[in-house]
Amino acid sequence: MKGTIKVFLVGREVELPWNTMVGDLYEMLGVSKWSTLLLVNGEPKADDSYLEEGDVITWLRITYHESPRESSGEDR
Amino acid sequence: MRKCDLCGFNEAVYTDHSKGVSVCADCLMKSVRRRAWQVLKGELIAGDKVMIAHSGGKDSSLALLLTKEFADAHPDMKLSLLSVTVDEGTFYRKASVKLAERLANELGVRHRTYTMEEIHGLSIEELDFRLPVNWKRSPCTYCGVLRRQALNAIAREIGATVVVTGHNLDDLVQTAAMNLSRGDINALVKTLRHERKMEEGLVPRVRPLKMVYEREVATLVVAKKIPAHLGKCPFTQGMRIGVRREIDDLEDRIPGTKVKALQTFSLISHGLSSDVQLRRCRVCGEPTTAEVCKACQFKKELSTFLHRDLVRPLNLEKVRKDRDLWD
Repeated sequence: MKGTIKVFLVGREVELPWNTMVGDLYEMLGVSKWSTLLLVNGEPKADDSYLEEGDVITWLRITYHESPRESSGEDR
Repeated sequence: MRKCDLCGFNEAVYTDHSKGVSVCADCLMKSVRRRAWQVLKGELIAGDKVMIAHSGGKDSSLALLLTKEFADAHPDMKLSLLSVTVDEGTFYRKASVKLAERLANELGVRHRTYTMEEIHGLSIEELDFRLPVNWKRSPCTYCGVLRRQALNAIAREIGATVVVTGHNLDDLVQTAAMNLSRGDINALVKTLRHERKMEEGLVPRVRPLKMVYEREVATLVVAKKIPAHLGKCPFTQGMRIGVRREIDDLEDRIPGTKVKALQTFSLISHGLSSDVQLRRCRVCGEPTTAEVCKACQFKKELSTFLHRDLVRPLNLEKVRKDRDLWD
């Protein structure tokens, strides 16, 4: 059984254990899954999807959003 | 390939940690649609003229798509839809305006863009250029207040009976938590309680994505290739970041926290009363809780930096000409 796989992680080739899941990458990269969406070959994948040899991983920031009205007195 | 736990057929694109399942884009869409339609069914009424505040970003684009699907699936409700973008005048917005127009066209929904320049007499790019370095307020502070006021004024003047916005579960929980931490009960009540009455020119709002995680929205927009701008506004600054991190950490440790928190905040807000009375701003006539609205206070402040008097009623002439746009 192959011990590692090579993937392209945000522009860099890295070697990872063969059983690395998409969800593991958030911790490895130190990003929150609530503010960043990792894409594998340009597509979103479930956190419990296994990565495969040659996968290209990119990320998308998802947190920008205008806020609903924040206070009763200040903003009207 | 990790297959969907629900249909067992397609590739899974999203993991719902609160339920312990991974689902494909089609099953995720079904789930999101069910939650959004539940809100729309409960909060829209037959004959509504629905203005969708559509920035072209991921949230409002999905809100438009789901509202259009809802209107098509419920012809008996005779809903009229209009997609409206307020262009704040940033290079970031240029891309999203085009995508907003494209999605509205694809869905067969009429779309109009009004600029901050024509309504308020200033653009955010100009404001950012003129504000002194290290000024006490960021462009976002001005932009948020001016855009919200513009959207409400457009809705009222164009004859909308309700405004649909793209605010999602994460936005609302963060806002509610911030209101609670400030002890601002009035804001909590106003944010979470749905009231259909038009009060002092304030058009009621409906948030179909209020039970949908922001991550679900982003996943769907990418997986379903919904035309939407996924970039980050260049003027965004560190507002609410701390609150968001705390809530996200809680959600990681206890999946489902955001849903339960919003449900709890909503229940609390229904048991409270707001003692804030809306009235009309003495200067511009828009709804406010003070004698002079925040937008006018800000515009007075900005007049110094922009070297012209910005304090005046909103210019809504172009908007009024569009009153007959409804289907």
